[in-house]
Amino acid sequence: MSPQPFGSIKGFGVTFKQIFKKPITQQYPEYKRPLYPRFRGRHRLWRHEDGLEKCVGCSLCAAACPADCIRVVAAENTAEHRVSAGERYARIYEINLSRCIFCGYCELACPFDAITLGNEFELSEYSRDDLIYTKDMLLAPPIKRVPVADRELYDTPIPFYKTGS
Amino acid sequence: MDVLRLTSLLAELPTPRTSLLDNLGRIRREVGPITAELSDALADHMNIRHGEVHEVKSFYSFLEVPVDALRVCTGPVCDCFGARALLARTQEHAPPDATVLEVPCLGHCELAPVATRGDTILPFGRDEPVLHRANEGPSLGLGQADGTLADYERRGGLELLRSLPSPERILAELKASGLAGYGGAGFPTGLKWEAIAAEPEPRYVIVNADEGEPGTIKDRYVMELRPHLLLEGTLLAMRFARATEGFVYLREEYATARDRLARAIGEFRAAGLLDGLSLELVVGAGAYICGEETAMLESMEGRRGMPRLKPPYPSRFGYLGRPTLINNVETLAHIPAILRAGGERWPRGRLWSVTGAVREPGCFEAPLDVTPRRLIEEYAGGASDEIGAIVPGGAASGILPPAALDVPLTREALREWGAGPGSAGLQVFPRRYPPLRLLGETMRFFAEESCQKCTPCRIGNRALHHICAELEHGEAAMPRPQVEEWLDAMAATSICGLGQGAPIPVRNAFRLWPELFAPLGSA
Amino acid sequence: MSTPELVTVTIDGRRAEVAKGTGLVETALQAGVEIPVFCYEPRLGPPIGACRMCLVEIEGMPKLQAGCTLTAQDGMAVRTAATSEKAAEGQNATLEFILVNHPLDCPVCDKGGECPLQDLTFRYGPGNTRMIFPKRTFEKPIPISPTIALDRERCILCYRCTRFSESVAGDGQLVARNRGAQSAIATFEDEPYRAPFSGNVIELCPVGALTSTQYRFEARPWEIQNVPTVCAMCPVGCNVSATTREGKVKRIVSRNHPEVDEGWLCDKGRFAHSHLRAEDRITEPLLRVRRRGFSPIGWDQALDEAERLLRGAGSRIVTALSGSETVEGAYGLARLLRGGLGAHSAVLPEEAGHALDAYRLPLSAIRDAELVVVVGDDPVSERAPIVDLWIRAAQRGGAELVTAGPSGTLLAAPGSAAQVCRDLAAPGSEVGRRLRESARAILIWSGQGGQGGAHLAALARALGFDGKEGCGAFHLPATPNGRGVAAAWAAASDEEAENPEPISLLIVSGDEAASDPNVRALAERAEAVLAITMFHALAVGWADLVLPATSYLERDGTTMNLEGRLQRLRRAVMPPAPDELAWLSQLAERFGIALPPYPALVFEELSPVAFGGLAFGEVGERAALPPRAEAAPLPPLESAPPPPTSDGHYLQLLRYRPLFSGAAVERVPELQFQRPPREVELSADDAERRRISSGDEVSVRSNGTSTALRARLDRRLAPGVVRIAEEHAGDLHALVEVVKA
Repeated sequence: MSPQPFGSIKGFGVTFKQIFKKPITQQYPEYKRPLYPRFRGRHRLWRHEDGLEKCVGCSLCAAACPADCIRVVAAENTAEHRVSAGERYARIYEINLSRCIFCGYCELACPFDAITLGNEFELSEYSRDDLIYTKDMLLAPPIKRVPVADRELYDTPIPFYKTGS
Repeated sequence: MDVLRLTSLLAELPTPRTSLLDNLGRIRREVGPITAELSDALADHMNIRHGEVHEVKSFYSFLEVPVDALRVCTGPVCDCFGARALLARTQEHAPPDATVLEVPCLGHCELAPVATRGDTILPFGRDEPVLHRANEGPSLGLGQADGTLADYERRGGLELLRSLPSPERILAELKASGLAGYGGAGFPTGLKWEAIAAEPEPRYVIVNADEGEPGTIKDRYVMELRPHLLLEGTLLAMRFARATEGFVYLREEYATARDRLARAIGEFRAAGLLDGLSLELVVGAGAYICGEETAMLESMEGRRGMPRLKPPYPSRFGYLGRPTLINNVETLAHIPAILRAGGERWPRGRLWSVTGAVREPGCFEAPLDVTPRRLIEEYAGGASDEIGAIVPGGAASGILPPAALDVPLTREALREWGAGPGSAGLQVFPRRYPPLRLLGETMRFFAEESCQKCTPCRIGNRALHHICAELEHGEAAMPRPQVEEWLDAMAATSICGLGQGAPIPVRNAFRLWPELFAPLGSA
Repeated sequence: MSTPELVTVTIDGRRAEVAKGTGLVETALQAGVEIPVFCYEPRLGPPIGACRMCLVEIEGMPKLQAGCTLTAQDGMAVRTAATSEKAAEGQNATLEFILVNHPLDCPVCDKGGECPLQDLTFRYGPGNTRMIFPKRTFEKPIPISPTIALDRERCILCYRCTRFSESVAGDGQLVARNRGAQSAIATFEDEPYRAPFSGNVIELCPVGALTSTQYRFEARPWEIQNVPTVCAMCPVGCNVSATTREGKVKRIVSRNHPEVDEGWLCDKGRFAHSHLRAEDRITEPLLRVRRRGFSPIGWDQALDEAERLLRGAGSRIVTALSGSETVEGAYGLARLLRGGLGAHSAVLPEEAGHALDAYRLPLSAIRDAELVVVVGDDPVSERAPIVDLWIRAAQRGGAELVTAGPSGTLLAAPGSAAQVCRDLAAPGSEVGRRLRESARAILIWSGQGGQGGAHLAALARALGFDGKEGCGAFHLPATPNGRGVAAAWAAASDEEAENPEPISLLIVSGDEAASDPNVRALAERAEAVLAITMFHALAVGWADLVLPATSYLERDGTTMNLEGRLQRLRRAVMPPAPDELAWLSQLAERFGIALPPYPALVFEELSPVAFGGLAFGEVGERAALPPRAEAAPLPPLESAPPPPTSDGHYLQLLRYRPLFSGAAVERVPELQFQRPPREVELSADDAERRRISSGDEVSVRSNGTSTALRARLDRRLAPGVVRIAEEHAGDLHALVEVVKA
């Protein structure tokens, strides 16, 4: 005999009560909850208005990164090949998103506001290699929208899918 | 071409390192501006590394410009009388191959605005310049120039050299006279001489004739009018210090003084007064900092004229590491009078250069406690304009308002005004000349003449000049408390008098013309 | 030596007891107090007190004092910025002044992260900037040489670099120019800074004003590993740190060993590392195929081939050693060849010996000497550059330098150094008398034919150096580890070498051996050649089998410098192919020799025989110098027949190997400007007789060969001698004609 004979029944009672409530499950990806404004998602590298990259390749983001997921290899700007405003630019800028913990320290460390964290979070890939984002990918606007053939299918915001890789 | 001409000259040039500055000066005069080839050839001749000669020649303003360059003075007094406009005009009309140079001070402020071409003075604005306007003066007697050694002897000169007083007596008289160095720092001469006597031989004596403070022309007057008097004082010092070698470090711009001194030295030599002694004229090459005694020593030793760290003082570690007595021209020139009259009875006075907005600018011997008003009215023929600001004694002495016209120009009295008598170069500025401009020009002078050795002077002066320049446009480059902090820091941490003294005029202006600094905020 | 007088100094209330005269900065450090400095660097000579960062308050002195210019006096009470408000105010202002014109480009600057100005600003500076001034701007960066870039905006005019150039290296090429607001650091006449020690100013610069062009933007301090190792480009063995990033050596920086290098490095040691990534680097074994040149083969096949060659040759093998192998590598080779095959014949570029161990001193002892005598044909700076700096330091301290050689203060014909030694030992010699009387005299042999120092040892003995602690002698060998290699080769077997004729197989170990003309000549007489080299160009044309070699930065082990100090090499980066010891151990196994592939184990094996049982771990990061050896009987002295001397028409050719030469330097683009120009040096007499002046094109001829060079007059060169760098001398004979072209 259970020491509390009515305990089980009481428990089931809680379950039964839920049957009549409205479900709170949300149909992701068809429906997306709004994100908080300070949500930290995929990184983005920025350019100045004149097209030059803000990043000077100083590696401070790499120094700040607790997951050691940023790799910067710098090079020197020349008159013929000017990439950033200063003497130095990032020849290679890679973030390994499979290691990134989205702490945002890189953004804090950056002396030129060259890197920010956006709020895109759908970054899954079939291969870990594809999660190493190169400078070109980081400089590009977030992943392109895929045209949806039949908008009627969705009564929620239209999902994003990544193309290319 | 130049190198060829140099080759013939080279053989005559002495090779010790101490002759470097002299050699460079000679090459410049006899061959031409020191170019890279000339400097290399000299380096090879003297067995010095090329780079070192290069360092030294680039330190001085004049070694790389031709002897006949037109130099336009833009010191404060000249600036006040329109030197800038003159400079612009000259540059415009100068033939293309002529060198026109802006220089911070030529030491002929009584002729302002002034320029020189080679050794010739070009006093613009005055047709018939009065070259020397001086009073008789009980100690220096500048009212009458000595043409030759005989003239000097006729006035009672050389007596002391012939009947040399004992060192003890000299020291006692010097101390009794209360004579303090007239170069600006005001160190008691008696103590200096006492210190040198306690050091081991060999010793050297150096006459500091590198008078470069804008507005100060008194040493030039002494050297041009009474070179023998200076030499007698110098020889007394050499006899006292038992030095066999003496030097006169003269600024390059003083061509007349150079000639007169050289002639006087020749006369002394001919009269046998220099037997067993050597007295050399060392000519600078345009660097204000070399008036600082340790910078002068470095310059004489053939290096960049950067001040040494003190202690050790030159009286212990001076020229070539030996005890060295360094005195200002005027200080030495007073010594014969002191010894003749006795320290107690010597009429205490000093030579004041009075320039700027006065009718009869010149140099006047007057008591130590003379007031600016007396100097202007009684000696310099009265003000020629409404008086705006007065600088009591050279660039680093302070800037005073007309209210200070009746303050005795003693160290003590001026201290209350935050100023000092400095090198006794009284400059009178008319009301139309803005004090802020005066301050800005003064700071520009310091910034350009800083040797760049120590940080506070190197950066501080440039920053202060910038602040003054901004203020002229009514803009504040920096809040007032920060400026004050910087002034304190410069005074406390600079190596030599240039950096330590540069804050004085700024502080003075802060105190006496607070309204000018309103944009900086309150203290 | 007398024990120095101790004085007690109070710094911020802490007491420190130091020798009288110790600098205040060091005294404070001993008390655990930091006095921050920029311009102060005791290795550069007397302090100049220019930066004013070190301001302290001294009890009894009214004004703030520059701490770096003071020395410890008894009872001195010092208050630094930590306890004195006045000092703190002065220091804060100084820092603020310095930063007024210093650009805020730390993220771009290579010094960022390891910058004294950054560090001291963090530690002592105000938290905020109050600066609203426009900063001064200059053109930047100015390449003052292919290896150094100058950024005048960042310069704080501490004069460290110019003081180094003027007083330490004595090249006088980096100068302070102008006065006042126009002051700037510049090279003399804007010529490139071409001097053997120029790279040191990069390390001396307390800001990022002087940076390395090689390291420019390559890495930041937090991305690198510094591997403590030893430079093996010359026999000095300067202690260095190899900075690596992502598996590549990015730069070499000094690691001060006060007895060996005092923290200085020559430009060869500093900049030559990029030869590791040379285009013609051999990364896999190569086999010569008829008419096709080399064909890459796998390691298994390579070992098979090597085994076949070795078995075929048996004991008729000659091994040409470079003297740059590690002790362990040389021992491995010796074990295989001597133990496994009985092939005892080896060629070292230069004889090594122990004769001078009885007069051993650390190199730093040269600085304290009062008389330094250098004998030999080569300038010290070309053979062992740092020794030149030690000699200069001695001269600054008042020592006299006597050089006896073809361009010395005592002129001696090339090849006559042994005779010079005998002359100095003779009773009538004035220099000999002074050497005998001096308590701190140093002898240096700089040139060929020293018989491993035996000639010098005989001189030292004759001068009574035995038992005089301050007197010593150094032999500057031609190779970095000649002594270590010789010792390792000897440790593997006692048997005598017989020189085989004909040679069945010539094993060429290392690049120096591969570029040695004598070894090339030997190859003519060999049936087959197995070359172990790093570069393609060195193997082409004569090797039948090529095994890739590794550089000193890529292997672990030990190396012995000219003092006889055993030092530890550490692998900074992985070599592109297995290192020598790895494949040697496999090859040895095929011959039944157990050779471990690990340097530590190999060393344990040879140490009891060669190094008195020293343990590998004891070699350490800052290796100690073994004590002086007991005076032993000297080996019999041999004198090479004197080379033919000039007869007035024919001049004696003196070849020298310049510091900036060799396979590694040739592969570093930045160092090309340092290589010797195509010049022949003539004495003034000879030049005048031939109506040749400096800069003339001349033709240098001997027995049918001739080469066109530019003449340069050397006033110090002995008449009858011409000097040409090895790489331009080609196959000229010992006597040459010089004719104006």
